[in-house]
Amino acid sequence: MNQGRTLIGDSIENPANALVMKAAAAMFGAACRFRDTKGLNQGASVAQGGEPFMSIEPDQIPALHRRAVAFDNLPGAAEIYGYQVGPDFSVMVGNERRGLSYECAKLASDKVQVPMFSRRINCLNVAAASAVALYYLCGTRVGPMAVRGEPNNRRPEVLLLGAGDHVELGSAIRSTAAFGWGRVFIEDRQQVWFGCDRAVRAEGRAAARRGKNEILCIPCATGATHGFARVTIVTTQALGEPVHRVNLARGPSQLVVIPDEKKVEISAEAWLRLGKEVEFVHLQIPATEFQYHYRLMATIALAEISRQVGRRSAIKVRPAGRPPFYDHRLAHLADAGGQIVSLEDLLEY
Amino acid sequence: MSRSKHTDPRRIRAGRRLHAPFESRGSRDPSLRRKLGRSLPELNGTPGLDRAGSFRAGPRIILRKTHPGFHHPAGKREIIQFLHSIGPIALYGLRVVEVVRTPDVTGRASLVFGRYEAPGRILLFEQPELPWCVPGILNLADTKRFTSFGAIVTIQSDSQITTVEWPKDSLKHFMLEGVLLHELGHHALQHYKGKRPVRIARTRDHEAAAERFASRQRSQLRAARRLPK
Repeated sequence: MNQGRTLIGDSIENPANALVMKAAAAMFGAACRFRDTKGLNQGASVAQGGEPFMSIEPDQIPALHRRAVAFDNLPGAAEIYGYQVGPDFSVMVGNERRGLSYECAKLASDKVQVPMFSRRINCLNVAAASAVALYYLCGTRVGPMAVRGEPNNRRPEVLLLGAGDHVELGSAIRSTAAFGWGRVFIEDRQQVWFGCDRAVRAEGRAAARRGKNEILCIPCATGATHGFARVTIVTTQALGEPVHRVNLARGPSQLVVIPDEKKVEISAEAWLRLGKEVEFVHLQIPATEFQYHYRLMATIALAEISRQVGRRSAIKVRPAGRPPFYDHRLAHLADAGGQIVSLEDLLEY
Repeated sequence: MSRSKHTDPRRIRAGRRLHAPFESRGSRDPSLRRKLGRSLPELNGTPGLDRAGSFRAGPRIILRKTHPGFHHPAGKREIIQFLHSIGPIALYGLRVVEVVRTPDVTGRASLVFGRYEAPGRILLFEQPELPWCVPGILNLADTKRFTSFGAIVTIQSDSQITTVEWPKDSLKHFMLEGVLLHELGHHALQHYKGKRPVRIARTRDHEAAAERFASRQRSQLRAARRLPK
């Protein structure tokens, strides 16, 4: 194998997901292969113009790379943040509904997962999850997830700006909910979410898993002004600092804007309308030219914010009781010492 | 009856631990100490430990600045001298004595003298410049306590104000013998119970025990003529 890393899709059903997975793998210089048990290559003719997906069998996986990483919420899986797997590895992601199969999971040398915080949405879109896995395993060195007493106090607001595709936006909304946000602002310039036709609406909602996704989607008018103290714009262009070096956990006074760079011109946008201080951060994508997918960029950005926002400690620490103290002070004073009244005065009264 | 370092009386244990805080349990032979105790029963085998002049592990004394219009009646040197005159029983386990500003006090009791914070922290608070003009009428117990240390308590019934004057060093004696000894009583009770950071008695019982300790130590000090009656 020429490349040092491979993304393996196990029993992927949806050819559109498989295509986006290929794009995600290309972004990080990885090969992409599929274990086809669901007739993926039969639908490929529609999805990618007849070119079949490269297939792989489970018995070929151990020989492919030194380490095989199962990326799923399996029991005992480590968190992906700060996980070191070396330069030569394959990442296995599972079926959209069923996850990684037992045949593949048992071949894994490492099990990792991305921590989810929603009670209703416990997984990401498979292509988006692949992008997150490759982003953190392919050299972006970050620390482990922060542990805080009240992580939600550090959670910034998120604005999904100008998405051009309803499925991409739906997947981004799904990721936002899965990473623990309760609400998200949407500036829907292309009218792919609010006010779209029935078919687009149904597909978008399905991608967002709207049936069980309780996130509140707040529409923002195009060009509307906001009063956030700090606005952070996440791009793929080399603007500002890398995303993991910037504090994205400043709480609700911070707005993180994730624009769809296919539709939004970063340099032409009036960012100061959103808040007082504007900063740019960029995702460290190794490839210079790649096929842009909004859900991938949004999910990577949201995963990084989620890492910085952190979670509560798994160990419940009982607050230490106040040690006893004893004050030595004056007793309460009487308001008045009384008054001497003679009997004569009393009788006169 | 078995005798070991664990069953030592408080006074002996405190003296030994203050002189050698990091001594191992096995060091020194308790049987030898018992022999010494028989030959010198008045010292109970601990020659020179009780009311000794200096200890290796004494408490820190910290003196903070006062608010304007307030002062510290007792200085650092006086507190050290007083603590050493009490002896090891009160010093063992005592970490710090801080002479600090008045805390924020809720309620109408405006005068706060001291505080014991478990484990081993005593706070002595600054006091207002003399004379004290206290709004309201001082109760009988406080009046008696103040006058026993030499204070002159005057109740101005027309204006409902109590004036307390402390001639000469009487306020210093009150802070040392009345307040610091009382707080040391809290410490002695709390420290020898073992469960040091937790409440080991009802506040009323704690206060009563501290007051008993203070009065006992006060009478011993006066009997030893270390302090004027």
